[in-house]
Amino acid sequence: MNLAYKIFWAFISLGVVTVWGLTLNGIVHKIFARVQGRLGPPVWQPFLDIIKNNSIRTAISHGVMFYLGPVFRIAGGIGTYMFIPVLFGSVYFSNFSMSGDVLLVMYFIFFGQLGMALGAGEGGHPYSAIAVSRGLAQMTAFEVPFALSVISLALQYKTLSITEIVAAQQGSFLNWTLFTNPLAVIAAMIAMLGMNMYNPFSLVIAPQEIPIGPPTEYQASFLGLLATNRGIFGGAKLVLFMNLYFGGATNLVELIVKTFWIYMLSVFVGAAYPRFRTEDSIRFFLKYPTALGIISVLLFSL
Amino acid sequence: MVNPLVIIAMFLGAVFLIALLDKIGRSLSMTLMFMVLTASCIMSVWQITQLFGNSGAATDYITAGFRAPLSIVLRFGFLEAILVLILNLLGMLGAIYLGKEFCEQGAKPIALYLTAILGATGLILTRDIFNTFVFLEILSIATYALIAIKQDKNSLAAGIKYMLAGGLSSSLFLVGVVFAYRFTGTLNIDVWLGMPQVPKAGYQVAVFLVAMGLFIELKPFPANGWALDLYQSAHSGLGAIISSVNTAALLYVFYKVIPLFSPTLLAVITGAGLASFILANLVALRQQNAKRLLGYSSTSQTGLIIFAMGAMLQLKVPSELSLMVVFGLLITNLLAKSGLFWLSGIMQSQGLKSWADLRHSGSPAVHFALFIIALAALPPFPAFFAKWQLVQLLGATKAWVWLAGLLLGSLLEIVYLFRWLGQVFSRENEPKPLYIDALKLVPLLGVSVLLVGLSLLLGRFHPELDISAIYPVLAFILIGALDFLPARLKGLLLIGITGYWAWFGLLPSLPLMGQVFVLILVGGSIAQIFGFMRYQRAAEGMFPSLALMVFAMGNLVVAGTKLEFFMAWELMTLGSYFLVLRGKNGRFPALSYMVFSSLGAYLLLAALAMIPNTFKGYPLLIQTAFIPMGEIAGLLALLAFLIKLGAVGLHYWLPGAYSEADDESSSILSSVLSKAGVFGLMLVLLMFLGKISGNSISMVSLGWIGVATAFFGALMAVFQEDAKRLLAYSSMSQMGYIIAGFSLMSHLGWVSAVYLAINHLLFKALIFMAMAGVFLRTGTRNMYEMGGLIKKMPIAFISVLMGIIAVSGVPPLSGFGSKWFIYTSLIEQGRVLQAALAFFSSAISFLYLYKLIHTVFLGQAKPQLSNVKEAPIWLIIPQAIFIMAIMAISVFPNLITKPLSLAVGDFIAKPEWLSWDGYNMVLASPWLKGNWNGNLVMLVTMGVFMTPLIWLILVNAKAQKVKQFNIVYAAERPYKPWTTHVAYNMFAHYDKALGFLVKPRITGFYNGVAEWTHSFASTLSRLYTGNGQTYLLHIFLYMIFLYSLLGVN
Amino acid sequence: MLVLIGGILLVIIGIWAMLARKNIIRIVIGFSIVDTGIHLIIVAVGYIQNATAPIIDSAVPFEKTATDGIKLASKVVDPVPSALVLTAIVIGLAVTALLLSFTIRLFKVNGSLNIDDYEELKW
Repeated sequence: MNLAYKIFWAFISLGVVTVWGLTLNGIVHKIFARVQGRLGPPVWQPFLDIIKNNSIRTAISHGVMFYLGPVFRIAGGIGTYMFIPVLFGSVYFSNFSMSGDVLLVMYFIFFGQLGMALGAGEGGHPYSAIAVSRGLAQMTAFEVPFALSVISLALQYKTLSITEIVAAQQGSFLNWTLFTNPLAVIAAMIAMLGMNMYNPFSLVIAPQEIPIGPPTEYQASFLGLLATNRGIFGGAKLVLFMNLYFGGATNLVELIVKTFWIYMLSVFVGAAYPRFRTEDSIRFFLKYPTALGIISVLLFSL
Repeated sequence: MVNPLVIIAMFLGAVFLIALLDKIGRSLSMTLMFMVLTASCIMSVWQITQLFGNSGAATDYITAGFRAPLSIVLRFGFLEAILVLILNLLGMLGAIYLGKEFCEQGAKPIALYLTAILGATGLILTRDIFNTFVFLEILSIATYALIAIKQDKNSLAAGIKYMLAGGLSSSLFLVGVVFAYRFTGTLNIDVWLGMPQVPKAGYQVAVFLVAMGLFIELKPFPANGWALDLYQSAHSGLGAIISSVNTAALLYVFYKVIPLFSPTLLAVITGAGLASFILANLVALRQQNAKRLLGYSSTSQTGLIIFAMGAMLQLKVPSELSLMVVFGLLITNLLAKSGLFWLSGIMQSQGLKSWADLRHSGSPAVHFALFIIALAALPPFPAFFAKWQLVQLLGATKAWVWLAGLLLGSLLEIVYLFRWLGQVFSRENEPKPLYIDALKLVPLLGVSVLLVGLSLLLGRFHPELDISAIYPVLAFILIGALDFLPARLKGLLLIGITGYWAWFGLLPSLPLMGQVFVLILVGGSIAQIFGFMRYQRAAEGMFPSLALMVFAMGNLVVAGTKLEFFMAWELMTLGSYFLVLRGKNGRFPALSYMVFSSLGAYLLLAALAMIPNTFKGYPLLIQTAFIPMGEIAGLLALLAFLIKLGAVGLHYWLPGAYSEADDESSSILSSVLSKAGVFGLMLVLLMFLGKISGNSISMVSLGWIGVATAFFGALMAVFQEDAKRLLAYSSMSQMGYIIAGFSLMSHLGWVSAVYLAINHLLFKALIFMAMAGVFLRTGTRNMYEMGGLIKKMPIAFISVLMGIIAVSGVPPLSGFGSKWFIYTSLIEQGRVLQAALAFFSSAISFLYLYKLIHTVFLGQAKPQLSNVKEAPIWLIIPQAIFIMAIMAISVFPNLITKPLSLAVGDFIAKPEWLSWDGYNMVLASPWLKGNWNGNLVMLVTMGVFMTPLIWLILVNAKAQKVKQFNIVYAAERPYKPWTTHVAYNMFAHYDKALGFLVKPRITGFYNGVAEWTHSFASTLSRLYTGNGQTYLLHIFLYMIFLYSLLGVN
Repeated sequence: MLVLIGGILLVIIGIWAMLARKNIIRIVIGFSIVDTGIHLIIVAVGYIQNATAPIIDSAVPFEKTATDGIKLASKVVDPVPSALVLTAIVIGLAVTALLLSFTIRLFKVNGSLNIDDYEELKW
């Protein structure tokens, strides 16, 4: 397949994940609203927001880095997605996953976060910086169980290539990492709670004290980009988890079903629990999930 | 040939004549004195040249026409001639120094002075033990009388103490001589030596008394209080003569009789010498008076020389070799010690702090540094080679306890010597103007020239050294001589010569791995020298130190013999020490840096003593396979290099040294110098290649040390408010990954370690150079005092941004390569938990990196920094170089990964499963598969970045620029940037959660060690009560103690 | 033998004086006594029971040999220690004189002869 085709299909796949990611966001808003006894916005509200934000004519900028922040953010989201094979066995939905392995994806996640943190920093708003410091601190903590679980997988499948990890889980649902290496999956799923920043790990965007966190200063089309990224990046993470732990997907329907339920875990927990303080969440991640991760790594290294 | 009687007669005649001539005119008597001294110098030189031509010539001269046992025999051989020459030279310089006193006080001191020199000369020449006593007394009495040239209370009181003790010890000597005569029937030393040991106890007591008489005269610890008081109070010119001429003559007498000692006595004296060396150095730690400090140092050096004599005699070392060692130690001590005493006479006050006045005095400051470094036995001075040889001998004969004692004493010595040096050169103390009598500079210049000349000769003709070994010193001298030139000129010159040398001298002779390290060590330095050129004026002291360090680092890579390597290592330490010391608050950090570096150097020295010699002319890199290194040697060497790398637990010195130097120096220290430690680590591990596998306990432990260093370094960096300390800890953390990579002992592990080393060089130098500009413009290093600088210093911001992306390992820059390498290599070898901890540390690095860039460049700008502008071009040049380098290896990773794999492949074969498919690096080990295509990642990233950017520009081209405070801020309008800028204690929550891990325990531990040592030293120093009788008691008790050690009834 | 014991006794007395007396003059006297004791010891060491004085005259038969000059046939007292003592006495005298002159200077400068008054230099 030549490069032009590759890029073309990458765009298609990007479109799919954007739509699905935004839809999921809409669904989640609805669920939260219902849990809290509200009617909630329509499921397509995220799409409306993006269109609205992009068509606002006035926008303010605090400087070049501020301007580039959302670009970094969405580039991080898209890039992360681009390095993940979406559908197993499909040449069309493998994106640019041949660039590297799961380590590349794990580190590319930081690309957007870092850029966004810098942009938000130049905004000069203290809430942004506070939120970033909280987010980074929490990130260091949840990366530990996640990294341990990925290492456990590397030991289990003797590869870091996502495609090969998915390939190894084919055949029966019993071949899924979920069943072959449950401890690693539990550790990773807890880490995912932190990544998705719902309760109890929502201090980064803490709506009451530091309204919406890092993007505080962003408006108009900047906010539009950020909102789009929520869909793409969220989708990318879900696809990654699906590939690593839940056997991947061979078609779009399977993908939609699996990612939906993976996401719902965060949503259910988030709807049910109150919020941790930052230091508490750091301690939490470094205790039980890390212990689980270490046990699973040791199990596979012996 | 010269009959030595002529010399003695000449002196005697002159002494009497002077009394007469002085009546006619002072200048006449002075002239005569100098004539006599010159004549005896000329005679010794003549004797030396004669003996060169005819080595078999008889050197013994009998007197009164009788043969050996019946008459007094004088010997004027090669050794004696050299010593007489040196003593008379020193005598001459000392006379110049005392010129003013001589002029004022006339014939008496001049005659006494000549008598003293005569006594010393006679002591060297005579082979008769009773004659020795006579000359000893001539020397002593003349010295006693000379004390009176300074007639104050302390000097006189000290004189009395000195005389009592001296009289007592010479009485002991006399009794010993007579009793020995009773048993042997002769007074001639040579006949004595030829006799078999007399087995009687009485004879042993006699020899003991002779030994004690001389030993006490040599002022051993603790029976030396009398001498200390004198050193402290007497005229500096006299102190210089006592500590050099007297000591040298007595030591030579000791050398003559030491073969008489029974093995137990020899062991006791050797031990006493070593104890004196260690304990005098220990007590000196608390000393604040410069002259008294010199007294302690004199005691310790004498102890060391006696130890060396005794030890080598016991170990049956060939006498030429042991002479070389003793001579090297002696000559350095003579010259440096007398020089320091002379300097002390120039100073107004003897408090060490007030010596800072020397700093702007020009040449005396240089002399001072020279003397201190020579005393500390650092290269290139003779004592360095002597100590090296001594340690090699002790190592070869497995005399571990002695070796340990020697190194411990040397370490203590480093502490007080360099504390003193720091007091003088640190910018903390404000110097007062110093009036210096130009005449007094002559002797200083004389000993300095002698010292340097001897050192260069030694370095040039030492059999274990290539000529290149002294290049660093020559570069130091060259740039030092041009130090008055503006910084830019010197910078260009330095770039020129180092570049030429590296390109034509270093690179062609090295294997690929060596070339890589030359590129890191020398290339990395050259790129940063541009930064040093920002200084408008001369920036005194900076470029010579820099030249010394850079050349030494280059030598490190090409070193072939052990000595070459060690010498380069020490010179590098010295150069970097001066760079640290040059910093505004560099005094304490420089000291702790020096002490830890020396600790490391001594460990390395011990390790090198345990391995056989290596070959000259071949870089160690290609010799390692043939060097059998034992496990203990390996451990010691490893420890030495871990200190240099600042591994956790050994990192006490690191934050201070990396942060308190001048900003450019910090950059070069943390980015380049640390790689010297990496190189050393690699050399050690190379020697164990094939013997110790990556999954042995030792290597796994090393790996844990590595990742622990990475973790704690990163965590400590998070809580810093000072940007340079933050970066220092970050360096420590990065070194941790490198250690872990090397510990794998696998191809992939080593490639990742060297990749990390290169990458660290690039980004750390980049960030440091950018931050140097920031510090320069803002005048502060506290990050919370900055903010919003992105608009004032965009180039610095871009550099730091590139840098932190490269540190953190975020694709698409080269940093990701280092992360990919280190994780895959760790996991591939089954070091999974280490990989996890490494991952955690690298996540933590985001915290401090964000803190760095946010609090400095983003957030709220402070009004006081409103007129900050971009850094000078000189700081931007290195940044541009490093950015280009980072971009090049990021876009085309093969530029670096393939050569590194080849370089490592010379030592550890590249496994089949590591291959390149275009830019795609494929890992297909049976244990782990993975791939990384840096080029494609870069392209994809470009694509995904440009697409939304274009979109944003299309929909939002005209975003309105707003002022600083135009922010939402929860419906309030902030009015103070200080309170709005989130900076100070940014990660308070992290401190709450994990801060307990980095409470300063290690620092506390080392501070505790230092405090206890000092308290102990202080307690010991209470021995010296100042009471003359107590001192006499010390002598008796010391004698009884040594005698009881002998175990003779 | 008596001389030897006497010499040793003198040395001990002298040392006691040097260590126990506070007056510098007395200490110097102690030193002088030690010196004298040592001289006695030296002489005693050289003395041989029932031997004659080492003067080559009719009382001492001797013969000349080719190598060593003169060879003594009967017992004479060893002349060397006596010669040494002469030198030692001179030296001892010089040291004592110097000590005393320093003491006088010190007394002039500071007005005290107690050695405990001169402890400014210490540690």
